[in-house]
Amino acid sequence: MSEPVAGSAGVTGAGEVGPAGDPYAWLPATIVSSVAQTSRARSLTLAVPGLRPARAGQHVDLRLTADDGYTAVRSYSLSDVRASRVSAVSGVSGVSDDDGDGRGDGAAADGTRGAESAGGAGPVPQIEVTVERLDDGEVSPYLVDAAEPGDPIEVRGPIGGWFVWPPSEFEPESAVHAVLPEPEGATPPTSAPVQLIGGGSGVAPLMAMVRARGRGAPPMRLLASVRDPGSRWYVAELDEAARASSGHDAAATPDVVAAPDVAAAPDVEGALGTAAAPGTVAAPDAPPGAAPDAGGGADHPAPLVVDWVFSRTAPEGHDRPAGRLTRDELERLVLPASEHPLVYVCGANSFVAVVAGWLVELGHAPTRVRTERFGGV
Amino acid sequence: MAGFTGFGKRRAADPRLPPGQYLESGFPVLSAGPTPNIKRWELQVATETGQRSLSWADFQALPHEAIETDIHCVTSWSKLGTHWRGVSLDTLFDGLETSHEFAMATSHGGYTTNLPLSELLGGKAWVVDTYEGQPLHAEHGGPARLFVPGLYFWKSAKWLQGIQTMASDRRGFWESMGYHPHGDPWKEERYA
Repeated sequence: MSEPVAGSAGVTGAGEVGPAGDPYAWLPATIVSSVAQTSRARSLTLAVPGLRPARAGQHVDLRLTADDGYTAVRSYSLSDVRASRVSAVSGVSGVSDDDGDGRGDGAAADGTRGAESAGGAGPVPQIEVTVERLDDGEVSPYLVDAAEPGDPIEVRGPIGGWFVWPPSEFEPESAVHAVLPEPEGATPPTSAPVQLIGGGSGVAPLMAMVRARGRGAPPMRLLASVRDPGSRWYVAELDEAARASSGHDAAATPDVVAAPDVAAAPDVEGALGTAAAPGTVAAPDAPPGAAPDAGGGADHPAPLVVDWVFSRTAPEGHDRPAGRLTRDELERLVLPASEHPLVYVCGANSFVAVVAGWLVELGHAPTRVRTERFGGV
Repeated sequence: MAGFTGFGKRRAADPRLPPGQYLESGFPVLSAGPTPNIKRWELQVATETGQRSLSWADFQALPHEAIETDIHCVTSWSKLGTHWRGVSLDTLFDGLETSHEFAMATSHGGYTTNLPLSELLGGKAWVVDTYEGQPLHAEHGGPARLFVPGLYFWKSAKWLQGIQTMASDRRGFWESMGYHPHGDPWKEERYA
């Protein structure tokens, strides 16, 4: 039985109860950079000494503390986990492939790495969350509008073992295999092609999966449904990643919209503590062309196709009129059930419920459809 | 630690909230996959000495109790003063002898969760089919779900299909993913 370390009184010594102790203890962390994704959403990079390596799809709990000690906790999906994997080799800031998948996660190629800690004790794991402002929210307005590099925050996690990619391989006698038999004729989940489907802010954990794919990864396809062009997160990086993976111009993927957009020019506010290290986690958000090595260069990363669907307002010149995703479109825009893709669906509950239901109707095995839901019905 | 200036004005302090929980007015959904398509509902209750199988009509014929209570999700939201109707597990287990101390609840769709039998008996748990006066929506586990409000809400298995006692504790689906084998919200038994 493990109980989280109580309160913030243990901040100075909390590093001692990190990986060696309770894996779900609160860890003191620092916001090291802040990048606006849209007018309502912001990506925050946190440096978290003692953090375990995180997996794409996992979430963390964040705890904010008011001046009088009042605290509030919320869960946020990780949108980038690559820099959570840092080598413990002293004096070397590098990335270890410590999950043994042999893929290397593409992190080194992207120049993404944990930051050197201020005391020179080695690299500090970093994670990124992307937070959308809920106007009546208690926590999100502070994270989107008030949080600045240098601010302290506490982190618990990473958490989750189902909505993760690459997927876990469970013991044959585990509760998971017992109740969720694999579809016949399917490749194992670890090598299955991957279909990601995100509604609104639900693209956040899917972005972590896109970013975590290495050169040997199975093909990935992302379908993202957003309200309007200004609500797209990570749009420049996704355009670039899709272009790089196809080895030629994005014209090969006509569903990718290359329209100019506010989100294409993230305003990097700062990278406190890592300012001297070029290629920190903020780098992947640079506009195409600004970072020639981003996306793996000539190494042709695993195939990635990105499709955007706009529910309220479509960009000018987009051939699909604005409107909600339909079942027919879903069938056209996702990998077919015959390929037994592993499908990850994330978004508001209403979106996830409808999409997951359609996927099953279209022949996808329920056990191949993994869901993560935000908010109320 | 230094705080965020101005943070905390919207706090929702309430002694009914367990540590680390916040008040939620909606009803968020936590599930790992699609809502199962239940063609034929049946509930199995089994111990090492016997079992019973209930059709929907059998289940409806059992005495239902009204429950007003708070619910607490491991993802940190709580809902206060919710209203449910269902059949007590004391009623469902009546006449089934057991020396077991644990149980595994199984859902249509395959998911499982493990609980101590002591949390299921003694007026602490129900199989509910009504929420706020309406038939329980499929999204929230309808037609009937386990209801164990003393534990984090993932223990209240949706789309309940069966409850099997067991001699020793084994982890269910969520518990195999890092969630706590017990899940007491007042002890913050979230993850393990």
